[in-house]
Amino acid sequence: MTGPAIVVRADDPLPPYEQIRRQIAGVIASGGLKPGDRLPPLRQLARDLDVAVGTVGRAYRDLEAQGWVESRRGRGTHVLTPPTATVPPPVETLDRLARDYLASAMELGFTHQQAIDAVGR
Amino acid sequence: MVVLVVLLPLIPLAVGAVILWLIFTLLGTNRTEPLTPEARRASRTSAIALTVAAVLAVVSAALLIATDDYGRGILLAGPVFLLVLQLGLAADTAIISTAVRTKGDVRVAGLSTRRVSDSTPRALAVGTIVTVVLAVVLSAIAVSVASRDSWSGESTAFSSANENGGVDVSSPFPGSFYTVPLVGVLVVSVVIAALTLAGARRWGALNQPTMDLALRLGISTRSVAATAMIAALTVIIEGWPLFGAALQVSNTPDDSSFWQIGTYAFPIAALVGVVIGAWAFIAFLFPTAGRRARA
Repeated sequence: MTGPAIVVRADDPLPPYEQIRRQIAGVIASGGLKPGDRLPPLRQLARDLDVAVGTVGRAYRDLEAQGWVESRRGRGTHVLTPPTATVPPPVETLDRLARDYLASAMELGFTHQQAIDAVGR
Repeated sequence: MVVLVVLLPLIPLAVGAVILWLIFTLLGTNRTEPLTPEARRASRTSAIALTVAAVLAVVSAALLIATDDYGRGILLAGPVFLLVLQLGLAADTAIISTAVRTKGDVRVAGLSTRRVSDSTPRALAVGTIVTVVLAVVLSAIAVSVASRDSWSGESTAFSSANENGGVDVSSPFPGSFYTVPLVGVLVVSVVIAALTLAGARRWGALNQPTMDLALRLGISTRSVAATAMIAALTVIIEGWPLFGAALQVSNTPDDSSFWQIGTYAFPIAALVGVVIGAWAFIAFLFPTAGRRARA
């Protein structure tokens, strides 16, 4: 397997479709997938991750609704230019997201430093 | 039939080599990294499926030889042996996709699209297509020029007028009696190869990428190689007697530019069959040698 990959964990509190959506959005945001790149077909990703086709389909639909990808019948799902906000978001939003992330990580048993290091990676 | 006498000793050699290689694979002595339980199960399942197919292939070939009819059983033994091996490979893709993978807590998937071409041996596939076309063309020629043999009552002879006003007859010759079942085996083999290539793309990724890729490459390459060997055998079986027919016709009233060209073209075709057959045999034994993933 070469190129970016995603992981679905059974013990993750997030539902599988949300794990898939977040990770694909993260890969696109970090440049792991470029605009125009094709995402794997629903069935392939569903088989690889041992989830239902509908689970991957929901993740793809959510990504499309948020402007990350575009699906066309018979041509697959392709990456779009990452969506950018038209109005700069408030800094408090980022602070809240960071706190939520730290809380989630520490609930799972990770230390504060491990969570910070993971962001750096 | 001289060709058959030359080819027959190669069949047990081929069987022996395949079985030895399977044992080598089954023991896992060619691994440089430890396998995950899922990958180990997939590897063993694959080796066992191919071993069972090899045993069934030997039985099928032996039955054909035992129930031989004017040499047709002997002629079909090699191609049917390869066809049964190919069926084992096709079954292997189904087994891996349905019975080998475990429900794990963690599943990893790449975000690249897996294509049939990722695991298809391109050069060998092109060579196979060329050989299949050549086999069909030579078969059509052989069937169209063959004549009924007075001894067998079947289309197993080639007859032509000689310089003295008589008729020269060569038998056995690959008329429809031999060629129709041979081409039938070839057509089925092509269909199975196509299904196997699709099957080798389809199964969900195993949790050990190197083994996953090795299995996809191995199954795809072996299936294409089996079709190539069947096509190569067909080309040799048709090409060599046609060369004999071209020599028989030369300098007789039946001589024509077609047969004059055939004097050169048919042995060259048979030689192409030998080369492709040898290449495919090596590819069957060492399917991943010198190949890298494009996935």
